[in-house]
Parts: sequence; structure tokens; C-alpha cells
Amino acid sequence: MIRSHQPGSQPLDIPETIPNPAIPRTAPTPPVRPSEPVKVPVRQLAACVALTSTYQPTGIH
Amino acid sequence: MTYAYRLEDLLLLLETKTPEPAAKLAANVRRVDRGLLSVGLKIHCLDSSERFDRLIEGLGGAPRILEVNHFKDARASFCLVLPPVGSAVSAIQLIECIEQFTGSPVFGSRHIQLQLCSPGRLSPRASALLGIAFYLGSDTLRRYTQADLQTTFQSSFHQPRGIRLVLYDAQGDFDRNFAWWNCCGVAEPQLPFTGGRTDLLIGSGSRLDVENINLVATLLVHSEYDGYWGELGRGFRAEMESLLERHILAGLLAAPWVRESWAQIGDDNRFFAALQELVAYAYGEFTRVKERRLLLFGGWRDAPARSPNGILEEMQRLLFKYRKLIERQSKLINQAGEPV
Repeated sequence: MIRSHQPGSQPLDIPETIPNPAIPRTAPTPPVRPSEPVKVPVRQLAACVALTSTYQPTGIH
Repeated sequence: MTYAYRLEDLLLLLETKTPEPAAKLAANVRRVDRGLLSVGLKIHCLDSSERFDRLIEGLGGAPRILEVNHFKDARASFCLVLPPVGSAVSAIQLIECIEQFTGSPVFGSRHIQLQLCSPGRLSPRASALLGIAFYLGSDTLRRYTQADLQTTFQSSFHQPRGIRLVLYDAQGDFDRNFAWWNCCGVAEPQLPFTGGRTDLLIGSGSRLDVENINLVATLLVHSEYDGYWGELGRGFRAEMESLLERHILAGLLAAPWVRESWAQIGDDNRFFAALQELVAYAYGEFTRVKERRLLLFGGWRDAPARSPNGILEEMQRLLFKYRKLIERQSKLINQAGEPV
């Protein structure tokens, strides 16, 4: 880094390298996080299990 | 270019650690892409050579591989010369295989200075255009000191190369067995010149640098050696010169960008002053062109922005345009290299 300073003007910091602003930077895509498991209350869960176990498609019985 | 091993030996060695990419590279390594020039590479290593030890030993050892080559960056511990390959894609793949083999980066590394070699000696004016196009087209704007460009041949008695970004070869080995698309669009089996190269000491380089230099060197060499892309090359030169005139930088072309045999005392400094002017202009654009961005918690900040009329943006457009023109026109040549 070079600090360039002329009397009467704001000092400038000149880095050794800078990214070319004319080249769009592609931001890395964030990794897809697995969805959070949903907590189901015990009573509701039991109802769900009962419903699926007793369910039979119409037309068979 | 002096390398005391065969490309096949290097590929076999790379295959021991990177079987798939090395085999893929080996299948197309001499294949020329759309009539663009072949690409040679030199790796100047600025720190210790340990990570390259296995590679160098595998190729025959340092005395045989490195010490045969007297040319290197003045600060480098060694310079590994890679045999030329048919295209920029192969050159990038070759470096990627070496990165995997050594387990350390080559692209974008501060400790590695890349030198890109293109067949055919360009005129001083075309050399200047090559250097300027590389600088403005790169994904990184660099500041240089003269120490960055010093080589062991800068004041050689027989082949003085001066302190320059663009270097001519020192009449070493030359592999001309790469296809050349002549002015009629016929692919000839060999390059039309028996020797001569124009190299760029790009420093810490990227994949984009390899692609850009290969494109621009092809356009310029074809315009000077009557190749298939000669017409496009002349168009590119005219547009580059007009771009420099619009930005009041046309005077840069008069500087001695490459060291010729009749160089004068002070030419190194004259070139460096021109390079500094180019660097200052590009850095100035980066500093000048800002946009106001709202930050998350209320405040405003000035951030670097793209300027449609800026030299950097114009250079990108020019490179894009000629890359597309080559892509489109190369479809007129069939696989056998004959015009459709």
C-alpha cells in the first residue's frame, strides 16, 4: 500500500492490486441448507398416525 | 524456450496424481482452438522451490530441467519452462493439473510470476497494443515497480531484453508444429515462422489473463503475418488505437514497450513512465467512478462502480466483441480446416 498525499488534497491509499471494476464479480452461491425439521406436538402426531393407519381409499371396502 | 523434457513425460507424471484431468488434457493438448495461437508458459517461483520438488525430480531433476535455462525473473528461485500447448484452454488445464500435483496455487499466487509466450515476433507498435490490452483487460489492476520486471537477461550481452512487460524470445527452441489458419482459411500443419516469440511477463496471473492474451496475440500476429484472422486483427488494432486516442493515451504507443536491438539509453525508463501513466489512468478511473450505496443500517457509502464510457469497460467490450466475431466466423471453417 502506498499513501499518496499532496498538500491541500485528501491523502490517497493506493493498494498494490485492485479488482477491475469492469469485470462483474460473481458472488459464490451460498450452499443450500437443509430445511429445519418441524416440531410436531405429541398429541397432534398421534392423531396424524391414527389417521394414516385407518385411512383406506374409497371404492375398495 | 529451453526445456529438456517432453510434454508427454510431463503429462504422464501429472497423470499419477490427477489421472482424469491429465488424461483429458492429453487427448487435446496439441489441438488448436479456432485458429488461435498456441500458448507457452513459464512459471517463475519467487519463494522456495520445495512444493515443486516432486514435479522437478519426476521430470529429470533440477540440473537437467532448471539449470539449463538461464532466463528467469531476477527475484525468482527458479523458472520452470512448460512446453507449448495448442490452446488457452489446454494451457489453463495444464496449470490446474500442476496446481493439483503440487498442492499449491499457481493462478493468483503472489509467489508465482507467470510468463505467457505467443509464437511470432510482433512489431514494437503491436507489442505495445498487446501490453496495454492485457493490462486493461485483466481482472486485476496491478501497480508495478521496475523490480517486478527485472530478469536475468535485462542487460545480457547477446540478448538484452531490458526491463519490460513485453519480451522477445532469446532464439531458443521453437515448436512450430501447431496448426496455422492461413489467409484462405486452410489449416496448415505448421506455424509460418521458424522461430520468434512475443512474451508477456504478467506477474500473478489468472485464467482470464491467459484467454485474453491468447486472443489479442492471435489478432495481432495474424494481422502482421497474413493469417486468417488478419482482417479482424487490423480492425482490432484500429479500434484499440481509437480507444487510446479518446482517452488521450495514444502517446503511450510511442514508448518502447519491447526492447529492440537498437535500443537507446533511457528506454527502460521511457517504457516505465508509459506503464505508470497507464496504471495511473486505470487506478484513477477506479477511484473516480463511484456509486452511492445504501448500507444495511441507514448510512451511505461510495463504492466503485462500472462506467460505460470508462476505458476499462470499453476494453471489456472490445475483447468481448472480437471473441464473439472469432466464434462466429470460425464456424465457416469445417473440422478439416477447409472453408465451408
